Amino acid sequence: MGYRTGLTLIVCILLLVLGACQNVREQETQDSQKADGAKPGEENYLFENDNVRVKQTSGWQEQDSSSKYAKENIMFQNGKLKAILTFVSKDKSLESIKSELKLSFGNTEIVKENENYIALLSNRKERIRTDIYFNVTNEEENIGILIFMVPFGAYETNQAKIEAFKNSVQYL
Amino acid sequence: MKKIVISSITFGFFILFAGNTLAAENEEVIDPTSELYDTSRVIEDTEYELTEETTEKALLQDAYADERLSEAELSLSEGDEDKAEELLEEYEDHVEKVEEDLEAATKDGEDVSEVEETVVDNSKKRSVNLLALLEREDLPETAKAGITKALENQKRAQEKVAKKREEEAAEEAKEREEEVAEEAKEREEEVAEEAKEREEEVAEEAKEREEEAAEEAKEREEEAAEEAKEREEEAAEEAKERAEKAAEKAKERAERAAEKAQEKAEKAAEKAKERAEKAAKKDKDRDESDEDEDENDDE
Repeated sequence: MGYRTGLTLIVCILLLVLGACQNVREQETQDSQKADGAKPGEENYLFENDNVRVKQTSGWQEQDSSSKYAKENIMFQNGKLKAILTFVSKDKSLESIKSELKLSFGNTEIVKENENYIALLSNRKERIRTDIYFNVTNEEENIGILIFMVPFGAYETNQAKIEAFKNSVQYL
Repeated sequence: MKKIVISSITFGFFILFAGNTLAAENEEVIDPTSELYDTSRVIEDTEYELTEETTEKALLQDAYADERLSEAELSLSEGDEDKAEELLEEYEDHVEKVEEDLEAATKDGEDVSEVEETVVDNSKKRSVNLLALLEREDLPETAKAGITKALENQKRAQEKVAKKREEEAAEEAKEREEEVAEEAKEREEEVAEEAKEREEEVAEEAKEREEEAAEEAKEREEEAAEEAKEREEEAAEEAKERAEKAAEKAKERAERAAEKAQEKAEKAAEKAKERAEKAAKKDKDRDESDEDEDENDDE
């Protein structure tokens, strides 16, 4: 009799411990999801609107700006590397968009240019390297423009970060 | 006074050609009504953020001021007076930021003279553009007030820089005077030092010459003593050689005398022997003749 009672007691304790562990695990998962700002089952994004989704990417943060000009331009930062994401309507041709963007950079030289990409280097004492990627598709109403800016000396070391961020941008 | 006259003439010259210059100076800019205009301003902000040197930041703000002015001119030409006014206000902000950055750079100990010169030159060029803008009939009153204010601010900034340059020039002149005095003092000290060194060298040389003379005299004495000793030794050697030769000759003579005496003795012995032999022969002959005689006698 005493043996049965002891065995039952041990089984009950084991079940209690297992139940408690399960609760802790669920609580941890929920806490983690709350911290990421994501609901269970949803992917976590650094930025998201009707035109684009930017997945969480290591080191990258959305940069807040008080400038009135930053409204239609989403800015991100990863150390000395900056990214600007914006959209323009297809009213203008890609070539005229490119020309206008080149004017924005003042005293710069074009390092490389192809259909959907321009690389620029400023001709100042502290040179800034700029890579501009254009996302032009037939399906989308807008042209997505992703601009990376970094001091020229830090360009090579930031290549991987640029690639990672480029891959994290999903045009909708 | 002379400076003021020259400045006035130069300024008048600028105003005279303002219309032509305005057209030439207007760089190509993005139309402020363009969909990409905001992006171009965000790019400017980012470029400014990424730039570290304060003098470089001042130059960037100076370039942005140029752009705002060109954009304001473009807006006015398009009839967008509100936008032009807004851009002129922003132009003022950039000019103020240039001053702030230059002050910060000066506090940080950066050499701002070259940048300041560039900024003042650009500011003068912009003054010409602003004056030309003021003359436009389509300019709204608020914009006129803004431009006038901007011109006053620029004039004040230019005067401030000019005053600063004068102070710097006075400071430099004072520093140069001090340097010249310092150099003169250093030269005097060097001359005195050189004279002292020359005196010491002369004394040193005289002492060296005395020591050399004493050394030479000593060497000469030692050489003479050495030579005298050598001569004595040579004389002794010669005397010894002569004595040995004389002894050799005496020995040779004695040997020759002994040889001659021996030869004589040998010859005497030879002769004695011969004589003995002859005497013996004679005795024999005599004996034989005696015998014969005896025989004969016998017979």
